Amino acid sequence: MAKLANVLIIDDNPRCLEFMALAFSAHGGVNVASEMVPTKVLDRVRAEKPDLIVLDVKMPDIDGFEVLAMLRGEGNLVPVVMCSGSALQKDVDRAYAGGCNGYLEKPTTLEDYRAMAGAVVDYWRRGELPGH
Amino acid sequence: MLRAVDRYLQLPRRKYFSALEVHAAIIGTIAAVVVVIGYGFGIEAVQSLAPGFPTMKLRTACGLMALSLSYMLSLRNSDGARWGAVALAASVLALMLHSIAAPPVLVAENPWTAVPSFATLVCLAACAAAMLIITLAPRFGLFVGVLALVAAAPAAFRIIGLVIFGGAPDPISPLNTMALHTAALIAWFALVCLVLHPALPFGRALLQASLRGRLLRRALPFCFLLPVTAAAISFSTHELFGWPSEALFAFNAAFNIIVAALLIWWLSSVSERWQSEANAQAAQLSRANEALEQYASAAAHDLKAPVRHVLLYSELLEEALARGDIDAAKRHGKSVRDSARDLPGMINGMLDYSRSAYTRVNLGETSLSELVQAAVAQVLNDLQMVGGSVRVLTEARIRCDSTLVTTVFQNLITNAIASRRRDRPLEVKINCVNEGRDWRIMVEDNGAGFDPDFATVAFNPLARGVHVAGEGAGIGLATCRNIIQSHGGKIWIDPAYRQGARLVFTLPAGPEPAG
Repeated sequence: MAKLANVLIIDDNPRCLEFMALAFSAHGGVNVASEMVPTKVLDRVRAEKPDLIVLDVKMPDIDGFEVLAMLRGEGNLVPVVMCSGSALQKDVDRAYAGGCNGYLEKPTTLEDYRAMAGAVVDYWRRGELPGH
Repeated sequence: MLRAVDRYLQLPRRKYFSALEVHAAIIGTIAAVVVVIGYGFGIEAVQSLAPGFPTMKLRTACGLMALSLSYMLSLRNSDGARWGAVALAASVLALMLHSIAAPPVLVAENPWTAVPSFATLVCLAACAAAMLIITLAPRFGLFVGVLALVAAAPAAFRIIGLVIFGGAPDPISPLNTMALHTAALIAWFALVCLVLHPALPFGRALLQASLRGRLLRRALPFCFLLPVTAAAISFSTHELFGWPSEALFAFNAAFNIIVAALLIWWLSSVSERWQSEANAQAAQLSRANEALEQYASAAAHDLKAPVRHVLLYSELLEEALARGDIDAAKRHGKSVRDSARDLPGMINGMLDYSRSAYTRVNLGETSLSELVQAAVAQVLNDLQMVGGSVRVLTEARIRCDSTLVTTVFQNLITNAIASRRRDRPLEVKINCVNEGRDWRIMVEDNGAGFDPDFATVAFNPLARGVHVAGEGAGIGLATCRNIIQSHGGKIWIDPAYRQGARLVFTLPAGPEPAG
């Protein structure tokens, strides 16, 4: 049986968290944890050591780019997939320059959500997304 | 003075044409009036009433009138007008050349036989030749400039001679018979009408709103004044000290070189200042564009989110119904409503903000109480729900756009409701003070107040994004700032007020808005 994936979803919007959690939970073998407060992310990552982080871009206080910079700044190479409501090219470029492993626009249908979550988990299991 | 000239020359194209037409028409009319009085109504009678009333030779007056008409026709776009201008200019040129080559014998009863001075004939011939070039071959505009100077220079020297010395400084000068008013009309026609003609590249360059045009407009008056001033000083020196012509030449050359160098230095500093201003404006525009892009991105993000949620919850609702899970269906149905509920407020907030930046201000006098009552009526339900009250402490008649300023009060009261404290009923007090030039209006509440960090960016539409538009403290304050600034006022948060929040804004008490 494939290794259980621990996915940490970070988003300030509870509805987005709900959709994301539903989509990832639809795949067997995935543990889903969520965090709405970006300033708590580092502590949770250190404590829970997730296999994969799904990170929202636009958040109050500190945005996704800053969270990513803090993670990479302390040498944490956990795969991070950034997920935003709008995929402006400059945001995408900034995300990859900051060390993210994937950048996705938030889907508008449940089917797309589930497909996105499935693709991300499959990629991680096949080693396409580097582990930490 | 230069700014006034700039404003005059930067009129819209149609008005600019009208301005030049008016110049030409005035020149022609003055010539016509002088000649009609001189030969029609009897100059003796007029001069007995107005001693020193000018006269003008018939050929000079006809030449000026024909040139004036030719000029006005040259500003028209039709072929007929153009050929009319050519015919008139050619007639003037022929008349002046004929008067030089074969002057008629003077007959006392026939005013047409009175020949103008040589200088007048040459100046009018130069103007006529310039008009021919303008109408037939405008690409040779450089020659028009040369001819305009040929016409203007003797006239200008004659004016100086008459005004400063009461006559020509040199009694044998060919200029010594040109009348002051004739010289003034010729110089006016040459320097204003001919040089600025819009058919010429020079005129276009001079009139354009570019840096080049602005520099030319500043430099040219000095270029014309420079030789005239040098000549005036030379004449004075010659009269007072009897300097020889070699000394005068040396003085003139040195004076011109020094002033030209100063002119170049001054222009280079002006252009450098303009360049730095242009750079600053470009940088400001770039920052504004960046802010706009960020705002558009934030707006798109915040507006897309609830729409996306409505779509997704609808799908979940369908799935729940398909499997007969009524509880889940109800939950998802509520989520659809919750997601959609904020949208109208967000869209209205954005619309108010964008409108507030471009709406025309219609000023009228309204009482402060009426403005506040109108605002309270808009938020009455929310205000009653929280048990809040709004009081106007000082009554005043304010000059403002009542609709826009009502929106300001409505936004500020909405903010107060959103940031009220739960342990005491909300009280909003509105006070005003007349500070002479401005009304200072204060809106205080007893709520939680503003976070000091937020207070510094509170009026920026990007401060908290549009997702709080419906709650009042987001884009609402940016809207207030736009409205107050469009009235010529200012708005700020009073950092010293600790009992809640105090927003202060000013509105000009005068009749005109500043912005």
